[in-house]
Amino acid sequence: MPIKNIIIGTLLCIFGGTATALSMSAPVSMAYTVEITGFKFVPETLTIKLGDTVRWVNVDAAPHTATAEDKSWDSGRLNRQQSWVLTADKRGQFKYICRFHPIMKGTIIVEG
Amino acid sequence: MLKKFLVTTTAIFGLALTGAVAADDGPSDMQIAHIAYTAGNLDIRYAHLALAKSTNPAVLEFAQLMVQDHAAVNDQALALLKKLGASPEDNPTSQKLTADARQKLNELADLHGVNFDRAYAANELAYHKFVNKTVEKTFIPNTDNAEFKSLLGQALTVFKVHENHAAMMVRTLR
Repeated sequence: MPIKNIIIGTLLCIFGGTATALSMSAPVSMAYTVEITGFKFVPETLTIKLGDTVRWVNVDAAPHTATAEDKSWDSGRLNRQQSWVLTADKRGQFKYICRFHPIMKGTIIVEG
Repeated sequence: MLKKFLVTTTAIFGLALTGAVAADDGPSDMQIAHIAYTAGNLDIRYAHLALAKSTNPAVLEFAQLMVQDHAAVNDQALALLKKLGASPEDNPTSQKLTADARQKLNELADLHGVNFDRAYAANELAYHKFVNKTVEKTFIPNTDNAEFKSLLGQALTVFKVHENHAAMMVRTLR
């Protein structure tokens, strides 16, 4: 087989494989932010996909938490300007509260 | 007895805080800072008394929240003052608040069981009502520094939640 054909064939395999790899790459994860402000989670309800991340950032004067009612996750105490990131690794609807101020409620809906 | 306690508490704090309003030009930013900081610290002292005396879970939870939230707000106030290179200014209103709180703490310390719980809850409700009203109607409108005004606004949001929580506690303890 002419060397030229071998080279062309090899290059086609390499780039063809790369294109295939790109088209089969994992979907891009989105990053969301929930602002804790005025004793509220904003937005109160957030719908995201599996693998997405949610970052809670406390801008209130008082400390807060973001704590799943089923206890599956808990940000711990977040002082003002502190934040915490959760990666959605399970589908479902997750209601959560602030442990210090339980009147504060939010929901994360994970689809995907 | 609870009604008399509530009326007395209201009178004491009303007089102390309106003293600040009665000044010729109103309190300065640094006097307001001192009053607000003092008011927060006094509520922490009430809370520590409750944590020492009460066995009621709702009262203990509220008191713990008061320590946490007022300490957090006061820490932020101190940080802002440091940033501004300013010092809170002691004043007759802060001194009266402190003296009156000392008297109230002595009264509360003589109470026990559910009588203490009810008196503590009533005092918290009255205290937060007057402080919140003063912060909202007098301090915030008369504060010159924008950052300090913003902090007072954020603190007021916290304290209004406390007021509602105290009202719920009073109802629960009836």
